[in-house]
Amino acid sequence: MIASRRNSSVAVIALLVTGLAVVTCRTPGATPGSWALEPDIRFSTSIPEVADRTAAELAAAALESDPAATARALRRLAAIDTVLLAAEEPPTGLGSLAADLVNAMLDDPRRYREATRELLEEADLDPALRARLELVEHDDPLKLASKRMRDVKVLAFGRAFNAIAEPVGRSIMTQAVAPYRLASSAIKYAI
Amino acid sequence: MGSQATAPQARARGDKALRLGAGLALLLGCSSTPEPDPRYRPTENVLEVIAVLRVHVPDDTYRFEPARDYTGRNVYRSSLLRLESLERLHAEALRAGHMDGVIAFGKGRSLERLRAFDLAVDQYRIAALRDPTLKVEALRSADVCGALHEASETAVGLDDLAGVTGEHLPRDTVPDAILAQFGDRVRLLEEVADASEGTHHVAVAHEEIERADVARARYFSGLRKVLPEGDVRAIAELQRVVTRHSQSKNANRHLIALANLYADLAVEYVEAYPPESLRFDASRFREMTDSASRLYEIVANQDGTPEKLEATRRLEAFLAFALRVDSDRFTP
Repeated sequence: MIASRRNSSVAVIALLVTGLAVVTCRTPGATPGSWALEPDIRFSTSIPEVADRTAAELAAAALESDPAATARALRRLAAIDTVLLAAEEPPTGLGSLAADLVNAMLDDPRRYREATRELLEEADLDPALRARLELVEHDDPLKLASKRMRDVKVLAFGRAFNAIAEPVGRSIMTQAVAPYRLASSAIKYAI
Repeated sequence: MGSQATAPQARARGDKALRLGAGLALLLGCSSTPEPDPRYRPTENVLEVIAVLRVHVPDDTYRFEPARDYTGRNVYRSSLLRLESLERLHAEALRAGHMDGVIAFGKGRSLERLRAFDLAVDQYRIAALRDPTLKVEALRSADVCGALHEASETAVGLDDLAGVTGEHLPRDTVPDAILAQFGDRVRLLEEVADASEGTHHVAVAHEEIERADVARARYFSGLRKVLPEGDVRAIAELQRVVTRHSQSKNANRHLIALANLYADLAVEYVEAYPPESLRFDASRFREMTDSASRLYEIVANQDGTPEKLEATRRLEAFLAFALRVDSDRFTP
């Protein structure tokens, strides 16, 4: 009788403990507090290739105006393209952009335009780059001045031609007044 | 019989023509749009932006207008916008940070030309941290931009004078105190210009010196009715600006500002002493009108400048006013 009473009390206690565990363990545990020093973690999904790093070095050298470093980076990019072409893979496409960046270091505008002209002779330039470089090539103050002078001469010739052609054209049917119209047009042109 | 035979034929021809027209319309409607000019394609590479920016880093923006890129926009502003767009659009590709130094340095070079010196300092410091190649030049540029920012905060600026409420203007109008502040500002800027000799920052410093001198002249022009001998002081300040900045790209604007002051003085004089009154001094009036006219003519005779048109119209308007004055006062 005493053994059965002990067994039943043990069972009751076990039942109580189980019920308590079920109730208290329903909610999730509290999250741990944040670290006092959180590391600045930057994960990149793509690792920069040699060409990307070389392009960054080239840009930095150009901004620093370091001709030796830019020449070195340019040669490295050319070598990378050669290796890719030999492996029958597409090139980086950075060759002409890099050459333009190296030309941009020329502070003399004339030398920059000459270098741009040489770069434009390449056949495989990107159309956007080619359009931009053509604008640079045409941005020559002496060429623009010659163009303006040519425009003035064309306008002067046109004005003189119209001064004769207009009265002649209008006098085809009424030739009697042709001399008057010609004289009037000549006076207007002279004034 | 003949008409019955031709009617179906005519109908068939009409149907054929209708089908042909519909097919043509469909072809035209489905034709692809022409390729846009390649110049206006979005920038896809940091090297391209840096190349355009690098060409214009040594430009003297004190003597000449800032360059415009192939879209016709200020090259520094467009380079800054393109770099920010590339950072946003290609965030994943740039996340490794290999271009961070270059992009930050490029943004610094753009921001200092757009007068955002405090932002330029931040970008240069980022560039110095991220790229050892650029560290020396980035820190030097950060120091220069920091000095320029400090100097621009020293005295009353043109932005304060343009404010509506005047809350940033100093409360005291003692000329010596204001002059001392402007003097400190110009002195700081001249020190920056001397320290930056041989670099493009000289042009930036000279632009800030010009702004300080114009702010000083504008301040005294605004107070000429309050200060003793205010008119004479205002004329002297504007003449000082014209003399000190004759090489500036804004030289014509300074001449027009001085001419405007002479014109205002002439109008105020006529309002105070009508020509028919005994107190009207013709020689004094003549002096003011001659000064204004001469200055307007100097600017109006410069072909190819945008201020030519403004000066021509202002001269016409001023002469129309001056001719209203009794003309026989000027004849012997």
